[in-house]
Amino acid sequence: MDTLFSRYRNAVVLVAALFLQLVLLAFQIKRDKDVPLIRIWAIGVITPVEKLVSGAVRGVYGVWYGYADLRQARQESQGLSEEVSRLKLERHRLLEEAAEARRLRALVQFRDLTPSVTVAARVIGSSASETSRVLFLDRGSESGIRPNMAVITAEGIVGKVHRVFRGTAQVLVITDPDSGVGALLERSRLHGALRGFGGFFCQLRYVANDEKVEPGDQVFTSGEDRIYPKGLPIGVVTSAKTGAVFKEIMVQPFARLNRLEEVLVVTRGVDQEIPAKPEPGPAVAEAPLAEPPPAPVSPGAPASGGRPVADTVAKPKAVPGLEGSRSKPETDADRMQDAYRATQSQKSEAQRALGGLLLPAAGGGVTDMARQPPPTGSNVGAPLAAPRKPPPTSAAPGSAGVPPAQPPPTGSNVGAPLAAPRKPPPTTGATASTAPAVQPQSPPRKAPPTSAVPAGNTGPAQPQSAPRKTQPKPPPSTTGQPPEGAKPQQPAQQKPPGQPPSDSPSPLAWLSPHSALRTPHSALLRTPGGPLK
Amino acid sequence: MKVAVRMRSDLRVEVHRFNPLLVIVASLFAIIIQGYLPMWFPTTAALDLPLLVTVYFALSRRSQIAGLLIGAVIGLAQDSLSHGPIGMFGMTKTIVGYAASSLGVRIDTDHASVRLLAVFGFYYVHTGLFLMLQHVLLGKAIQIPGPRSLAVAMVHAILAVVLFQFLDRFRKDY
Repeated sequence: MDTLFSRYRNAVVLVAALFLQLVLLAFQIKRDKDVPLIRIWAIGVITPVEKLVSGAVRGVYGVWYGYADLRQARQESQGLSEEVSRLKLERHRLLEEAAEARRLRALVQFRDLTPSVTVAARVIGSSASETSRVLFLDRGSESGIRPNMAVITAEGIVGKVHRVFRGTAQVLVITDPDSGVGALLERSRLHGALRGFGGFFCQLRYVANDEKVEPGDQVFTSGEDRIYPKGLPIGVVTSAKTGAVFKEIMVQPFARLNRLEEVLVVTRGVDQEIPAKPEPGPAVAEAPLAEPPPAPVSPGAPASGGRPVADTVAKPKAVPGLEGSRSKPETDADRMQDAYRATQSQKSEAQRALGGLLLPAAGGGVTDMARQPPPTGSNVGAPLAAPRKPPPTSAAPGSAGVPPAQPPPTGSNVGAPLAAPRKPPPTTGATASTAPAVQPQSPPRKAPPTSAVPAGNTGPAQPQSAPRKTQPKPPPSTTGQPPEGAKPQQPAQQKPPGQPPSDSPSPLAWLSPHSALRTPHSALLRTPGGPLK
Repeated sequence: MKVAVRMRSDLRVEVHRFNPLLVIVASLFAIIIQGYLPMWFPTTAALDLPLLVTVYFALSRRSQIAGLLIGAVIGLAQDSLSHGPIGMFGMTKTIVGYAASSLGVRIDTDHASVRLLAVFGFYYVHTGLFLMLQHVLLGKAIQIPGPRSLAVAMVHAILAVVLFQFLDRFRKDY
């Protein structure tokens, strides 16, 4: 037996092993039970190793994929950095475009509000020297721009067109020492000449030392220079010191002259009203700089000429809501305005009834910067500015429907108070010595409440605003002649266009090289049939 | 003199010995890889690494008892990790181990081509035995292997050649 087992040991072991496993299998199948012990042993032995291997594999996997991810992350980081740079540039571009859109919108709003005809232009350069404050625009003579046109923004005036080329124009900024603007202090209604002071400031000259000027007073254009229409904001007084003869008043322009990008060139200026503020009112410096200028009360009617360029916008219409903003007259001037409006409405009805026999006026109240002569006779029946052209003083205030008296054609200022301070009769020697002395401060179009102003008066009395004080004569003193010449587009004027004025230049004559072409506002208002016809 | 010793060794049939720890580690590693690899590479589920380990140790040791015992243990461990009844892989690999040891006693299985053919044949022996036992003992229908099994058997044979070359580094010759 022993030998048999030894001889067939391998087979016996095989059979035994198979038998045991067969019995084990049969037991499981027969009893439908598992053999948990074997599984527990096997799992207990294998699973720890599996955990170890799994951890190692996961570790290697993590390291490998971490490395791969790191490489990928680096590539992604580089890509994202490039994208961030691109997006930054795009964002910057979009911000620039948004800012430009805001500026253009403000400019368009301002252009819609202002009655003047303007041409939008883009600032493409500036002067190459520190001593010369000039800008270059991307519009030139092709766009109808001509020298001595006012350049403005929504914030305030910028300067005037100095030289014009075919596709560009050079603008002399108001801060240039060679620049000058006829200015008007809003609160006190004092007139003066604003000259560039270099840097970012201007100096308001020819304001007497005894005048009350405080920092914060706003300065507007007076329209006397025949370049800048009246009523445009210039800046704010930053300091006012007593000088040798005149005050040394520093004015900071409203327009941000060092960061201009878009401007408007006034091809046909229309004077506006300066918003009057009460004397004890708050400091005007608190007013927002970007506030649109005062709305025109008396829009011009540029019937002649037409638009110089395609994008010019004429503003013959009044801004809604501004005409009737005053419910009832508060002052004599308001009552006169109402009377004038009533007269105008009646006249319009009469025009319609007559089938347009009365032609609309042109050029009334319009500062024709382009020096384009309007058609003759176009001033007849012009709906000129009510506030700027009050009814003649002979008419009783508030007498609506009564045609105002016509001023005498020549030689007399009776009934034409606006012309008195600027264009006295050349034959009256008495006015020669007195009228120029009050020119810088005399309101050009404010009607005196009195019924008549005699010739040679010492300045028309202001109806409402600041107390009138005589202003010492500026240095370029005259010989007592009227300060400004006749306007060329007014055929009814006594002085034909282009003729040099017989009188000496006004204190503001240096503001414009074409002083001979300048016309007093009163001459603009004067028509053959009278101021209202 | 050396030839005489080798002749004596041949008479003892067992030519190579292995560190028992290596046998355990290799068996465990084969079982673990067998259960772990399909998680990442599902196509590797067709591989039977425990079979290769069983065949290798059975062929190398040329001991039928050692071969069948290694096959039995590895088969039972493989059964333990499966959801079926314990003993199917055990009996199959016991027979394969015994057969491989018997083959190793008779021919020199160190050559790669012999190993290739031996593993190729043992794969079919293993598959046939498993299907037969399943049919006989568990009453399951016999699914005759298709052409795919040929490729799988070839893959096993090629993989066995490489694996056996690697495991030969750890064996000790008498």
